[in-house]
Amino acid sequence: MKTSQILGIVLIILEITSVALFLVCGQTIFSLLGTVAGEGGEIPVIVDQKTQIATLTFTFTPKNSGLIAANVIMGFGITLTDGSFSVKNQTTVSLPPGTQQSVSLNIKVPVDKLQEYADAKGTLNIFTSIRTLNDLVKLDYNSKNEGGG
Amino acid sequence: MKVRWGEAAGALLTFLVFVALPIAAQYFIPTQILEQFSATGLNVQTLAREIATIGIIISVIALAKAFVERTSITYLILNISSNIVSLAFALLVVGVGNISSLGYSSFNLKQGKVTTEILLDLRVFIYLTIGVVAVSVLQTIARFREARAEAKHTPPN
Repeated sequence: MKTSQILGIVLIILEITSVALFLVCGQTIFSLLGTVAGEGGEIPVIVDQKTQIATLTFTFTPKNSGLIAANVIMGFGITLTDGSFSVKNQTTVSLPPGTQQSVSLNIKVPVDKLQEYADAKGTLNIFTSIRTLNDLVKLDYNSKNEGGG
Repeated sequence: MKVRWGEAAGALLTFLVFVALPIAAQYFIPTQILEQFSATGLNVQTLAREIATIGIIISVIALAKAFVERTSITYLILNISSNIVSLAFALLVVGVGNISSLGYSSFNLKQGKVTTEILLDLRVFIYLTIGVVAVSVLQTIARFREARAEAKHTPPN
């Protein structure tokens, strides 16, 4: 067999592998993308009147309808603009193909700090990172909502 | 001059796919969607123009190859150039219009009080494309040497 023919076979294998991986990764990421948003976008707030601490809960239910496994990092937090307060909570879930998992994340915020956020002096940050192909391919989605309004 | 019509037809097909199609496609995308892309910093019209520019270069190289002897140095240079331009094309597409991003693209979208940042890491596909181009260049050189060796051993008519 000629050298050019051997290289031709290597080339075909490389090209098919590249295209197949691109399609499979794309399909996995986009199948997860629609499911990683918080349920209804609502964040329930429960205030402990005694301690004046508010608990914010964010629930995610990522579902991997893709063909390969994926890791999903999800989190949310509140940061005040003057830097006097910042809190965040995040978690990582590993999802084999065809599985889903419900995740609830809590953060505790003093009521006065929550009021400052509500007075447009802070940011609510919701972030998601979808990683697949052994974390070699990723899509990060970071949403920053200014308080107030 | 001997023309290989198969290769010339391939050049025409390349022109249709990489030049005519991107230019025509932008007119079929609704204005609203174009504006949404534009808000993230991605100008679809500029991307289509850049794809078409690279498409013209690839088509011209492909057409020139149809007129050149396979055993000539010119054919070898055209073939290697074609591989390198293909790499630039892959960088442009995977980098969503930004060649220098090398497959690591980010977009920002601000709507009222909500700012959304999207980061896409597709660098692994750039490495794979570099591998494909490298093997492709090696294959081109091997084919060229084999064609020359065959030409030497074939008695002239």
